Amino acid sequence: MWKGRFDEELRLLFDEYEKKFGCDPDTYEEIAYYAMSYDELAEYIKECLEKGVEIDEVVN
Amino acid sequence: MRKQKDRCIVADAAGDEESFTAASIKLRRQKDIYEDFCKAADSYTQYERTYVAGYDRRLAGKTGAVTRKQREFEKAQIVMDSDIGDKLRRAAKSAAIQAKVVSYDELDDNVKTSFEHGLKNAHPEVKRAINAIKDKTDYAYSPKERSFYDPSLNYVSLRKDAPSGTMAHELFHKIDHMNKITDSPEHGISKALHNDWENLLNKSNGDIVGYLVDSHPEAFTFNRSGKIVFKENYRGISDIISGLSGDGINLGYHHKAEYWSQSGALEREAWAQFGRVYFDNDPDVVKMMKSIFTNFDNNAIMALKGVK
Repeated sequence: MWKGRFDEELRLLFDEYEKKFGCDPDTYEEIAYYAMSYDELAEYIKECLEKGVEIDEVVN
Repeated sequence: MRKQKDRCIVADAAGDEESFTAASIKLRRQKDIYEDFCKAADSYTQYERTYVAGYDRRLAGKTGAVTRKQREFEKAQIVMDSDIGDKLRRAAKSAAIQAKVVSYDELDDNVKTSFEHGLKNAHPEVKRAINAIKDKTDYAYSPKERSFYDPSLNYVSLRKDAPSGTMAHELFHKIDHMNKITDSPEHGISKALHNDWENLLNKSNGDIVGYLVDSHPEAFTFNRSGKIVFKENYRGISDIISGLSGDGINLGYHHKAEYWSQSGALEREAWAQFGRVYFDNDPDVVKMMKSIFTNFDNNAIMALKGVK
C-alpha cells in the first residue's frame, strides 16, 4: 500500500490503472511500495499504462 | 595396547618425538575401542592386563598430553572445515546472484534487532521453527523492490527496510521447501484451505466481503480511492482470500490471478502468510485467522509442530 504523497496527478494515474487492470496499482502484496519515491511510483504506473502490463512486471 | 606402550617407551628413550606421538595416538584409539567394547558387552575394563614394565606414570602423563593436543586439533579442524564450507557456499552463491550472500550474524544490526524483537512476541512454535533455521540460512540484501526466497539457490533475498514479518514470511517459504509441507497430502493444507473456503461461501451466502466486514469490522478501513480494504496487519489474510478466489476478491493485498493459477501457489503462499500472521502474533488477526480459516489454521499448526 502506497503511504506517500497522493495528489491529483497520482489519483488520475491510479484511476487509469484501475480502469485498465481492474485494481489499484498499490495492492500487489509482494511489492515494497515503501521503498519507492513518489516519482518512481508515478513512472512505474506510466510505464504500465504504455506497455499494457501490470506493475509487478515493471517493478524491479 | 601393550605393543604401543612398548613403542612409547622406546621412542621416549630415543628422544624420537614423532614416533612417540604416533604410538600415543594409536594407544588412545585402542583404549577408546576397548572401552566401547566393554560398555557394549556390559563388562568391566581390565587395564591391569595391559600392564607393561617401564610404562610408568610419567609416560602415561606424556601420552595423555599428546592425545589431548591431537583431539583439540581434530576439533579445530572440524570447526574450520565447516566454517570454510559455509564461506565457500556463500561465495559461490554471491557469484551466481551478483550480490553478497551473508549469514544471519552478518546481517545489519538494525535488521537483526528488529527481527529478534518481533521473534520475542511470536507464537512459540513459530519462534522455535525460525530459531532452528535462521542461523543456517543464507541471506542477500535485495536490490529489488521486493523480498523473496529462492529455492533453487536456497537463500532469502531481503530488503534492508522490510518489516520483520516479511523476513518471517520468506523463512516460512524456506521451511516449506525444506520440509515439503504444502506439497505433501499428509498435512492436508490444500484440502483444509478449500474446506474453509466452502464454509465461508456457505456462511456468507456468496457475499464474502459483506460477511467479513459485518463480522470483523475492526479489520477494515477505506483506501484513498474510497474502496474497502484490509488494514495492513491483516495483509496475510487478504492475500489468502485473493488466492482462494483466484484473485476475484482483492481487499488491498493480493497476487494476480496468473500467479494463483500456478500449481501449488495458493498452498505455498497461504503457508508463508500463516507464518507472517503468527510471527506478528497480533491477537485480533490471529482470532480472525482461526475464525475464517479454522481447518487450515489447525493443519498448519500441526504441520509446524512437526518441523524439526
